Amino acid sequence: MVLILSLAHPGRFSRLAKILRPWIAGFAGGFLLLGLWFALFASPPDFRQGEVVRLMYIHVPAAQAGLGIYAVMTLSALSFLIWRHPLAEIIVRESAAIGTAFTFLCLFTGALWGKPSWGTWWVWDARLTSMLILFFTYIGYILLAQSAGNRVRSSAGSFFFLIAGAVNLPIIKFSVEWWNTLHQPASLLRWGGPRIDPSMLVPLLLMMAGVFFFYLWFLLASVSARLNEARYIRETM
Amino acid sequence: MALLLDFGDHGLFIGLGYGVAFCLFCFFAMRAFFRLKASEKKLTIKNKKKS
Repeated sequence: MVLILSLAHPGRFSRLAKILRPWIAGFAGGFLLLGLWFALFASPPDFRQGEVVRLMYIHVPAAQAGLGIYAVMTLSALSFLIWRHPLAEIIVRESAAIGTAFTFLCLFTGALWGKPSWGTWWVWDARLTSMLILFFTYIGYILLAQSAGNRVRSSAGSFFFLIAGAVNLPIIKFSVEWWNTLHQPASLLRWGGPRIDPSMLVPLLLMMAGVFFFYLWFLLASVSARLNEARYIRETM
Repeated sequence: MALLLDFGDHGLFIGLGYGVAFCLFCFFAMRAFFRLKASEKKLTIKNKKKS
């Protein structure tokens, strides 16, 4: 905790981010390119679904990112409310748009995958509906944060909304076990290990790593830009 | 295009999915990159003026 708080100092964060950014960008680009090559060329088609299974390599990483980014935002919002650390507030604000985009991408690729596999673009089953609620929660948070502007008390209000919305995260994860859904049960993060063949698991993990590093790079760049802008305003006032 | 045709009936679905994903990645990467460069440039100009 002491290490996190010491790294959360804006000056220290900017210096560290400047060193880490090129490395993380390299990891993101490398993993994504390698993952794409495997996903589009090296991995085999599914014996039942055929070529359309290749949508899994963006659908699953996008879903994980949508959930993961929301978890990061919730933890940052909590730490802002407890310690009033400005960096935590910036992390929440900068993550909202990209989290929404990944959730949208998950829903969009899910619809594209659903039409040939299930015969429909959309069904109101528990997994799809809870994911749609996550998408609307992101939008609701963005609207609340925008209406709050930069006032600390108002942004705290939008953070309470964000934290309350986190109750949806375990619902999304366990929806396929708690209810009968058209969506398949978990095949990656489950007791007993993944149920996917290594020829499909490798590209999936590569794409997930690529998306993770991409978000990390985006966060470092956006937070650094926000800190630079704040420093510029402070010094020219 | 040839790659999408290789995927048969599902080429359009795969192309749409990967195409939208590519656009989103490009948008967020460019947004963060140019915003960072602009903020660094502002600070550099201000520091030059100061000195």
